[in-house]
Amino acid sequence: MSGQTGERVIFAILGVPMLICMLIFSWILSLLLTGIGSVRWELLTVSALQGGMFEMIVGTIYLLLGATAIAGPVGILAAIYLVEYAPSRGLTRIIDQAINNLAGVPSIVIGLFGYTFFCRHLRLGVSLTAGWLTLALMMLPIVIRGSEEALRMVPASFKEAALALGATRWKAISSTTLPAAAPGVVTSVILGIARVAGETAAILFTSCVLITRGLPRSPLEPVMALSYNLFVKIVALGTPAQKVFGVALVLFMIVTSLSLSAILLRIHYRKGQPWLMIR
Amino acid sequence: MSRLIDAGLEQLSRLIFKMGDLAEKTVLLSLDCYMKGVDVHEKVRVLSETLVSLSEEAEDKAVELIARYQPVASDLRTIKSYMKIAYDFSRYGRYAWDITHIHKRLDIKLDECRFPWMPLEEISGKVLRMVHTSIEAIKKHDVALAKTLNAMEREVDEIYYRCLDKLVEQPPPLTGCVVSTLLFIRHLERIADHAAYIGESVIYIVTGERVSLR
Amino acid sequence: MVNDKIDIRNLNVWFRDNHVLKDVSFKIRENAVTAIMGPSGCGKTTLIRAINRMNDLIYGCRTSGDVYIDGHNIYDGNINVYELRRKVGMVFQKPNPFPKSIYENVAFGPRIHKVASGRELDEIVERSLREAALWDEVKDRLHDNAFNLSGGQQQRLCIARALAVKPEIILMDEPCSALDPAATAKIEALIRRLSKKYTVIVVTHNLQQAARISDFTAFLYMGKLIEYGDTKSVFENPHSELTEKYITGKFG
Repeated sequence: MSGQTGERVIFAILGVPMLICMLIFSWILSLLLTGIGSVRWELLTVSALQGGMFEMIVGTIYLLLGATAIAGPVGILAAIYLVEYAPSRGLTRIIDQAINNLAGVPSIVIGLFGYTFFCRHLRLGVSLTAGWLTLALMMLPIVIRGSEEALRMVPASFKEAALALGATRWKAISSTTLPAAAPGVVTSVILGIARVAGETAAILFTSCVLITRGLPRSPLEPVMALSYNLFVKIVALGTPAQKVFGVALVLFMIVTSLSLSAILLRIHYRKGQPWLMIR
Repeated sequence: MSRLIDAGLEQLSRLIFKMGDLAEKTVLLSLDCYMKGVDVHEKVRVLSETLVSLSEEAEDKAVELIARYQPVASDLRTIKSYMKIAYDFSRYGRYAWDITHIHKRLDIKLDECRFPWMPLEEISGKVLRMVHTSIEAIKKHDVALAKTLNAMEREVDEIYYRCLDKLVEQPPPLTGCVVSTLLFIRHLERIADHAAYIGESVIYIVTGERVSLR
Repeated sequence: MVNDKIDIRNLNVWFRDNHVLKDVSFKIRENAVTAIMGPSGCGKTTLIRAINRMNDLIYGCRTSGDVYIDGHNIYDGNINVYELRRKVGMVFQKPNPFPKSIYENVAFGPRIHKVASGRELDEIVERSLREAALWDEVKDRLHDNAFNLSGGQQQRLCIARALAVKPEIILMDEPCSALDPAATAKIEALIRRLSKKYTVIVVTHNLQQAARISDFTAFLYMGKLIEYGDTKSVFENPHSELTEKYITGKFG
């Protein structure tokens, strides 16, 4: 009988934290939903100069697009190199460590680096470009890690079969491993975007201002962003919470939908990866 | 390291050796019968039939081993040869029976039939020795021993043809004796042949070569 | 007129410090099935991978000695390794079709070698699938995913895939070890048929299979070639004591 009680105790111990998480999540959600009052659909398309969120939303989107355009290809290619081409074990381990370290750097530190290097040293000033580069730095480890894992999950037997048919190394990888890893790679990119979508510290002094006149006309101009806006309104301007929750809700929904689409994509593509199922 | 096939091989070997001993005994008895006039006709008949059924048993066992264990190399040669040797032993028995049968059937008085020039003891002694040697060779898988059968077989052949020549010259009234003697040495010569076959099988088992000892 | 397709001379292969193949030399007959047998780890797979230079892809692998195919040394500096691998096809132990359609699997080789396209490609795919005795079973579902096939069918698909680039030599690394007896029987019959047109080399640790399907048998032990001859002689009366012990199961 003690076996069964033991099992129940374990179940309870493991279940409690889960319950707590769900409670916290629901509380956050309810908090955000209080902001639903201050959000009307029109606000999403109305300029900030008239009390809307248009430039902020577009600014966030601009930042994300640019960062992805940089971190995506660079990260994927780096992952391919690390998995398929990197020769000696020692060097790969060092690179791996470096990527891990980059992932662990606090975002404020990255923001500071970004400001010093991109804004000052490269003379980009507070601009979209500097924001792109800094956010890309944050996205990179996630994209590389995720793509690496996706590539490693593809059975080496596909590549071997292609090589045995007379394919060159690159042809074998590009025609077998890459297509098979594509779903995983795409998922990791989306997760990278989700990570940086809500970033504040990195864009704090590298690319954002509180308000701009219209959308930026060139990448060298600063931009408005949802997370930055949130930060400034609460800390600097002391705006009452209810008003700000609207912005928070929009940001939250963007990030959540990104994460959700990553999960759904993963589930959908699982069906096309029959080697993952145990025969 | 014992293999699955070893138990079956062991069984087959024991069967063959048993047949060998029985066959030797049968030949001995039949020679006694012919040379000394002892009436062992019935005994020899039974022994011969036993040898036949034992050879069938050996064949069945050999085929079973082949079907079940897919033997190769020395195992395969051994099994194949044992099948042949089982037949050779059953032939010993059969010729032995034939010898006792001549005697009974032709109802010849042996004392009237001795040709003074006929080396009956010599030839039957040699054949007995060949039978014994062949059985020893198979029991020990002894190639050297098997090779001695070559010389012995030639000697037996020589005596046989000599006797044939002499028999052709014999005058008519002794026809019964001629027939009896002729058949007797003929059966002995065949037994010698089979002993040589057995020797050849032993050499094949051990070395894989096919040689002729005749 | 009998001809030797492959001439292996003093082949040595090292994986870092491990001397895997030790001075192996023998000739492989054209249009015949040659079986390579031996206990696990004796170097059989390394030996066949030396024939299509797949060992080159393994980090830390060193090869010395020569392998002549049709008189040309494939370890020469100016050999096109990709063309070599087209000429020398390989089928692996565990069936490894691409996660693509059946058609795309077979068309893969011709595509990368830019051999054909369109109509011609269709014909090549059909010819290869027929040669691999798979056409009748898949002709109505060429665009189905290859993973929906059974193990035996997948292996025949891999054979068709190798045949599609018109090889001259086919290397098979224990092609039936992951299959059930019925599928194995089909592949063994296929191997016999293929040997009329191609030079087939089969690595196997199944002695009875080696005895059944091959014309010539090589016995490898701890990286050394112990015996090589026509199958009947090797299995009826082997020259080497070691071979005798191995094939009668006195060690293994």
